[in-house]
Amino acid sequence: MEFLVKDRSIVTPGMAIAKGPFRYEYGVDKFGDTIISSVLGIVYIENDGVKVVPLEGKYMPKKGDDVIGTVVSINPLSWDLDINAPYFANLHVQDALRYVKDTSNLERIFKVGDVIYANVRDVGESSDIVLQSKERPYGKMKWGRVVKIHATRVPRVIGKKGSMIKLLKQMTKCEITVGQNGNIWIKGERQMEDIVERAILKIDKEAHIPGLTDRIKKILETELSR
Amino acid sequence: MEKDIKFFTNGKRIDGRAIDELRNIKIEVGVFKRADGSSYIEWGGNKIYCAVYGPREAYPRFLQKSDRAILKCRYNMASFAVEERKRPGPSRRGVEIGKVTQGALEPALLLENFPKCMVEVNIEVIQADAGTRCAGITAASVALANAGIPMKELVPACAAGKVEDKIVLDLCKEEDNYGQADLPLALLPRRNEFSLLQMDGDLTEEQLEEALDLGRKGCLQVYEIQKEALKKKYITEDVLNE
Repeated sequence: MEFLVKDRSIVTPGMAIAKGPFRYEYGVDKFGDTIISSVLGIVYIENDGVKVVPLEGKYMPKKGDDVIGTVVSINPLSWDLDINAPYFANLHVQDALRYVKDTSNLERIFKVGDVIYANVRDVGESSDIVLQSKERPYGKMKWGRVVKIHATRVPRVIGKKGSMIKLLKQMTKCEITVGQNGNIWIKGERQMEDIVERAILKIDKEAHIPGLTDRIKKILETELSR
Repeated sequence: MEKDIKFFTNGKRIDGRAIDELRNIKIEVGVFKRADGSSYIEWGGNKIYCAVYGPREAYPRFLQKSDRAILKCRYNMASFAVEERKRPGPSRRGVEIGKVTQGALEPALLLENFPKCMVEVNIEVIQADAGTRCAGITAASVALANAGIPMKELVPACAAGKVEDKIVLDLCKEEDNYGQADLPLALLPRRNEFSLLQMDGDLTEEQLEEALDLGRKGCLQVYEIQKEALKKKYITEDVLNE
């Protein structure tokens, strides 16, 4: 076992990371006895495994993820949602609301363009995505706005143990809901929404550079004192 | 015409390069906002933009593969890219280069991760100066990495050729037009295999071997430039200095 790159360095596809038998997670591929990166990302080396966290790329849904999507089309008994994945997600009427009186006109429930917070119920073998939005935090998001960022940078917006999101919420008094797919919904005072949006876009841009929380805190302080 | 040109002076080529020297290559990553991945390459006088979209649902529907994504490549040259105005729109040559680009890139990509999807690669030549297909493949490969599409390795490409019975690397315009042979190559560096190999003109068997060796060396140099360009995008000095 030997490492060919430093921990937390940027690797490009095809770059050799380690040699020898090794447990590997995602973002890597095997070539002979070398482990090579398969995406553009940052290497994380743990005691017994390597993984590459991608810097770019589309959201790939996993069962149990919370996502925010927009309705793109209405089918006889379901909606198609755009959740930034390669495929549209499907939300059936039965899974949408706890109790539906009348399914004759689905447009009365969710219109095209509505923003919906939902949970990934299942991802099929051929990658069809089934959502549900029955229980409480899920459902239609009224008012507010949606900011789109890279799905790969969502963990940065949340921060270690939610430190970043807590900071944003406390300092601006906005309601913020983060979808795993990179859509972030913000609701609050108009100017505060602007500030949060700018901060989130900055996080998106500088996600891979350390010391992010401090930098964002500084920016928020200067913007709020204006 | 052919006789008028003197290809070598004091062992140097027309543009002052040595036999095994590449032209200047500059790659920029992430130049378009709307595309999922993009790149811009300046290779000598070539100026090429590349945009990658996807993975997204494949259309038309009958092209979908249930076990993997399909790769669509489009090569287009602007009407002002060459000396004499090129008639805009798809052409026989453009379709051919699109097809060979697809063949060159596909073995490097892990398309089985995205069933029923397609990945679109658009190569737009703004200025042409010999070797656009190689520059296009090089740029497309970088743009694919920038789009976050998983792949086994980057694909560098480079041409070799024959001028005055000498094997040279990376032909310039005059050498391409009036030289004896042109051999565009795309390399899969880790596997040490070629994914693109075309030949225009004629070479003997020994000359072909020699050209392949030289081309491989050229590709490896291009590979380093590709890696450097991708990394440079994320190591932004201005942020660190703040």
